[in-house]
Amino acid sequence: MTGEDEQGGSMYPGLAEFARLWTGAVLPTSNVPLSRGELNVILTGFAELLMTSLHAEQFDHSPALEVGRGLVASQLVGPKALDATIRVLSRYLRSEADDDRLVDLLGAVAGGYVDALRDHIFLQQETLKKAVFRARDAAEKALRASERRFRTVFTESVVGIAIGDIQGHIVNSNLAMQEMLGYSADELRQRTPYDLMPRKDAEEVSTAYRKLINGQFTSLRSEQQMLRSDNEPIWVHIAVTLIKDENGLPDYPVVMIEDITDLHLLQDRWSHQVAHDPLTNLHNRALFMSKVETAVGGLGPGDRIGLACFGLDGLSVINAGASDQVGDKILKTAADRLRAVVDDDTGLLGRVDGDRFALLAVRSSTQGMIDVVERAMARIAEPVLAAGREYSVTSSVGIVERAAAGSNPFRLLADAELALQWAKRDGRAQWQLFEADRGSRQRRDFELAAQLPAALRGGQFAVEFEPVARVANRGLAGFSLVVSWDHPEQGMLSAKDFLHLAERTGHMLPLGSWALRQACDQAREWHDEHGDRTPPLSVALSDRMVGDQDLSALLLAVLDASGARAEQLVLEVSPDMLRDADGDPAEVLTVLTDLGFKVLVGGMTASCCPHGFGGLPLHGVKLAPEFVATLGEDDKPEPSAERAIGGVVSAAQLAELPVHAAGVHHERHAVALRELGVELGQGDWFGPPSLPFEVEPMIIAGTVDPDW
Amino acid sequence: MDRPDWAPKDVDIEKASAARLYDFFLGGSYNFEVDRELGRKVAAVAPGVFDFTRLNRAFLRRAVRYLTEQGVDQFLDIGSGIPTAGNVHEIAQKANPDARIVYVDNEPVAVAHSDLLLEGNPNAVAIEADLRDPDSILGNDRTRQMLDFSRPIGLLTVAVYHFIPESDDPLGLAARYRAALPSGSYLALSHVTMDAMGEQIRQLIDLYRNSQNPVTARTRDQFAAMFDGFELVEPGVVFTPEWHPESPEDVGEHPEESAVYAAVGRKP
Repeated sequence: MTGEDEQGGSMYPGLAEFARLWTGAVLPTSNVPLSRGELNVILTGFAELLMTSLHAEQFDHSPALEVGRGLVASQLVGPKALDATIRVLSRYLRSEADDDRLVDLLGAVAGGYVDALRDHIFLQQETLKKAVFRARDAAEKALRASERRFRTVFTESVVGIAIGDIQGHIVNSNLAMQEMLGYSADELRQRTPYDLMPRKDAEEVSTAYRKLINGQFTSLRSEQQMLRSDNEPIWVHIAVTLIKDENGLPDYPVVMIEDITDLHLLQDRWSHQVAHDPLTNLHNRALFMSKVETAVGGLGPGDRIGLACFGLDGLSVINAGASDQVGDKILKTAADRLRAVVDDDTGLLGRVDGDRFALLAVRSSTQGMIDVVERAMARIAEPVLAAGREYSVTSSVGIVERAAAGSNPFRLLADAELALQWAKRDGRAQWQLFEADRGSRQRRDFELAAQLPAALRGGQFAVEFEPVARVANRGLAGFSLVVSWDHPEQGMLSAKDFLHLAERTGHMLPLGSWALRQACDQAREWHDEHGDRTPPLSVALSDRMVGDQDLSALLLAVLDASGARAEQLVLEVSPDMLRDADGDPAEVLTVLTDLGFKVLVGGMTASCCPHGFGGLPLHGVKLAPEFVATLGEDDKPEPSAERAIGGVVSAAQLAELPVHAAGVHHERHAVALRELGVELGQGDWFGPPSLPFEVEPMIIAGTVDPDW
Repeated sequence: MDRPDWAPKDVDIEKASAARLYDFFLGGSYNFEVDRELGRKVAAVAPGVFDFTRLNRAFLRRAVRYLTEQGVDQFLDIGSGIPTAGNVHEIAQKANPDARIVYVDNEPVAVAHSDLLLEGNPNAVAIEADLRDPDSILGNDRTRQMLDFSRPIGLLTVAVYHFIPESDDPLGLAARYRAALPSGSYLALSHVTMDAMGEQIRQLIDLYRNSQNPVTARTRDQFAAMFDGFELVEPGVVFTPEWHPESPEDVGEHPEESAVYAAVGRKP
């Protein structure tokens, strides 16, 4: 066939339409891997063959037979393909020839088609059978390989394996099984696994085995005692699995046993040890906590629960001075004495940390808890004889006593431990009741402290600059660097919320160095811009930084990196750092001033009098904001506060040190301070901490009230 | 899949298999009486099933042709079933004799069958593995020998994901395969839906429920989600006859009666 025929170049008009109809009729009957156009080309050829043989003078079957075969070859093999073909042919060819010839033609097409279809189906079925044989062959090979593997597993395994019959008699056993139980293969063959168990276990296992056969269990696993041929008991893990036949009915059992006798012996000891403190034989922390959880869960809505945490005072000192045995003896004695005060009915004891014991009381009352605690404290404080000496050890106790409903066991212990810390901090040998307010404040502090390093890395800290003014004329005298923390959950936190935490947790150095770098960078920038008009910038150094060996190296490095000069900065240190342990002027002051920094004593209150500051290389003193706040908020300043501040100011003046004041928030404060002789001030009255671009006009104007 | 991997898989011809049923619906003779018996039951309640399968097979043919036109010359056909008229390698190798094909099916007879048919064809292999175990397919030595994973691959998962229930995480599986394909690869996918022909498909699902291959129909959105990470080729998600039809008559008046969504996506 050629495209021209398709275009109507055929000798039969209407042939194209005939082929198109034929294509449309048969296409939906079969899975033909051809497009409509492709099939159309083939069928156009067939149509032409049929037309030709219809119009031939002598009718010849063979072209029509070939067309029938050709349809099958074109994959027109669907159940309705022949039917659709005959319909189209008879409708379209009816007008082309007489009925006899048409019937002959259709018969030949159908004959050729059926003939080819039989071959097609036979061939497909043959191929399918071959494929099944091949798949079975592969599966059987795999089966034989797996049987070999199974046999190896069976004979070589260190696990005892036995195959039984459905009644449970052992039919086949491996060497490991024979050795474990001390029987030969033949001896085992006459027995069931439960014949080899103590009577009580045997009943249980045989019942379970029946359930396995009934289909109530899918497999059986347990830890079991078995008896060897010499009547020696051994502990085993036993697993019984039922192999089912192809109909899903129980066929035979496979039994596997593993000798765990040694493990079992170990486990007994270990499970006691894992839950008990070997020294005092009290519950350890983990078991104690699980008992607390159980106790809390078992209490009614109105019940209360109490937990006391005992800490032995100064045990570490004794441990350091005397031998470990002394410490152990003291701990053991304390535990025994606690046990004597608290019996199992009234409370539960545990050793929750090295020198800490916890006591849980259910259905408690606050007074009842305090009574028990006081009795226990008195007993513990009695002298202990250890290594030929008498030791007296007191204890401090934190007590929590609250409604059981909604109590979290871990919070209970944590709160008691917190209260214990308070008791120790307040002077030891006493008890403290947990107070929720104090606890939550402290807990919030702990959380903040823990978040500090990440916050520093994450750039959550920011600096602002608080103007320092001459109290007399509001002339600009400097800036003070203020650090704040933009906390993602708690919002903006000011230095007083977190600096003490940084100081206590050791994060002060990184935070302080960061603040110093900010200060130096800013000082350099302002000096580049405004030259000598730029007033000094003061930065507070924490005690930890001042005490740090590497302070001068740090300062030099920061100056170097920023390009700022030392005299552009004022370093603020606390009064505590001015003298060393012997009362001599601290070396660090000389170091700082030698480097060229101005040093200011910040945080002055009534309790640190600057009498002794004379002769120290200082630049001034700064009154703490809380000291200034004592002036009060009334119209008339507090006379006693004025006297206290006046005292500090005169002492500073005697030492020839100018006085600054921080926290000057009201005009009245400014007036009072000026009268008392304070020269410089900072605080809301002179302008709040602000960003560099906000304070620049002050530098240009030289006053904290620039016209802008 | 609790059969240990060293145990042979049963060659079970006593139960109907999805692959042989599919062949029956296509009018093939690669099936047994047990398959035909279930097939006739299905056809009785879902007479459209012959069209569903035929139109789906035609989509596969057009998709492979399209991919070949885009220059794809390696194919991974997962769930290839029984080889029958218009196999992927026949279509692809007709256009490009060097095209390479890996057929994957989890039915041992279908795989043995493909093996027989591929004898003497160095550029096509069949492996027995399960769509649900991507490592066994992607990491298979024969897959790696046949396909070059540094060049675009045509992944064909035609009429196979509806045998994966939600509990087998079809989206997770699709993501695993996507991750293995290099940029420029294509995914051709078709899937039974109840969005149209709902009643027939529901009856079909009922009958398949206890066969070796239960069926899960999915909505258009669920189907589209399987192309996450691919750019859909025009016309996007359509019913099988609407995807790149070769002539207007092929689409017909009711393409949705094909009951199968089809789409092709390209991994950017």
